[in-house]
Amino acid sequence: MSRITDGPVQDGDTLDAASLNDRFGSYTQTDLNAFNARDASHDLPQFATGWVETHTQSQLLGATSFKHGSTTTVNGQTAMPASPVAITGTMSFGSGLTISTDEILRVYWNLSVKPNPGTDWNTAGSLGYYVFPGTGGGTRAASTWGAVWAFYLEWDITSSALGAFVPVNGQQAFTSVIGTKYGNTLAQCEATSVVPADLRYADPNSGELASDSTQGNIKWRGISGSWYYPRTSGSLTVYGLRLVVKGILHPWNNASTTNYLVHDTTYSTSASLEYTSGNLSVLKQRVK
Amino acid sequence: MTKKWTQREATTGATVSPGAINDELRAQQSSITTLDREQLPGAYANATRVKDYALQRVYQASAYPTGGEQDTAVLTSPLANTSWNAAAFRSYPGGWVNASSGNGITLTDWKGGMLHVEWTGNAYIMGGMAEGRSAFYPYNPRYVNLRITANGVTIAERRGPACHEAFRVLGSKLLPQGPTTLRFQWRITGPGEDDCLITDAGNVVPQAHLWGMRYLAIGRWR
Repeated sequence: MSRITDGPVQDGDTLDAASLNDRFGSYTQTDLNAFNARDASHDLPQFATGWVETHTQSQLLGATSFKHGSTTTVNGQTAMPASPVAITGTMSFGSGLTISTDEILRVYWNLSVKPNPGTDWNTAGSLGYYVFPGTGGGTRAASTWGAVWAFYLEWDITSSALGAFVPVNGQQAFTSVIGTKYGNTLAQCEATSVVPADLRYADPNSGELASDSTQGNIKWRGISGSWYYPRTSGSLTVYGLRLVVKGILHPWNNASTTNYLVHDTTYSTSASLEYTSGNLSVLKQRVK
Repeated sequence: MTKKWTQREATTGATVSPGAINDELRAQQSSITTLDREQLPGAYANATRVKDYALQRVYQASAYPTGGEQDTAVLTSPLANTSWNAAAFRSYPGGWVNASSGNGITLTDWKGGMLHVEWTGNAYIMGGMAEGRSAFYPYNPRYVNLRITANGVTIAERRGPACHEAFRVLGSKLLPQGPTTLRFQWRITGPGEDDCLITDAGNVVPQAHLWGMRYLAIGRWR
């Protein structure tokens, strides 16, 4: 129901045509504003199409190959600091996608991948193994199950030339120096999704390792991730978005209570990752 | 949709009186004072005509809790440098544990309606001890079970990762109007009797850790 707050016309008021017409004008549509229109007085038919959802876009990643006949290989990174490897398929917004105040950019990705753990998971210098007592004496190594390939988002917010991709807001590039390592704190991984670098099963027996561990059969698997960027003031124009990968990375605490994800250059020596196809999607919408 | 005079239109230079406008309002009572949404034209509503959060409200955090890491059941010592400060069987109390030690996620001014919630992040689980000598078939695979609760009621639940990988839990639920709190919770598979839980150097082996967590929730009223 509409609500008008003009008081009634009283006997004795000084009246003229203009004041009466102004009063009458109170009842026109332009005055049915936020004050008059109560919260529940509207439903979707009264909103223009695209009022809530202001942009959607999708981009194929890699090459469509459902039988994995055509794959792209990314080798483990050993030279530090390493540059990220861009997954084929950059999402371009042409002259730019503007994220305005009270809008949020929702980004989703998925990709079909197959890690190859290589043979250096327990080479001296690798972070990827624990040493446990061996049954009958001595010691044996078992995987930490911490090693991963990390996928994260980059955007270009400078120009449509798409030549200046940087990690998105809240994400860093795993290039910070942490003691002798390169990586991120976990707090710097707001747009990261990981996939395991190996699935190596130990042979435990009463708290000891009875024999050497065995490599599980890592088959093709899917990775997925999502990231949200709300704009609470001003606006930001995004020209491009892409998914990149780095690896192999491993947990590290640097003898502190801070958790890091750092490059494991030893483990990476013989490791690689294959990928085929996936999708990068964005959805921009109002938050209220 | 400007209203039209039907009684005594006030024109410039004419004599006017309170009766002129009062007669008009009375005559148009049905259409002026009982205007409802069916009478509004399509695409009438916009940001200036509708109050904030009239139709929907988005709740979001780029990192939850602070830093995006679980802050419950975390063991900090003794650990190898190649570990995280994370949940170990020494610190894990069993059962479902909140991912955040805080008060949960308050859905401010929840008016009632459909909730859509996405909880995204990464989960580490130490799954390498699944095939213990004393654990005959089936073996003892480890999972980080995940669930979302709204005011204590589970609205979405997943078996969760069995290795170190990304996860996403999506839930949708009709929720009544009133104070509403979301919680993200995790639970891990218990140890097998053969598990190596202490390294040769005397360090504890962490079992699970949730990190890089963020969420998006959308409330669509009625």
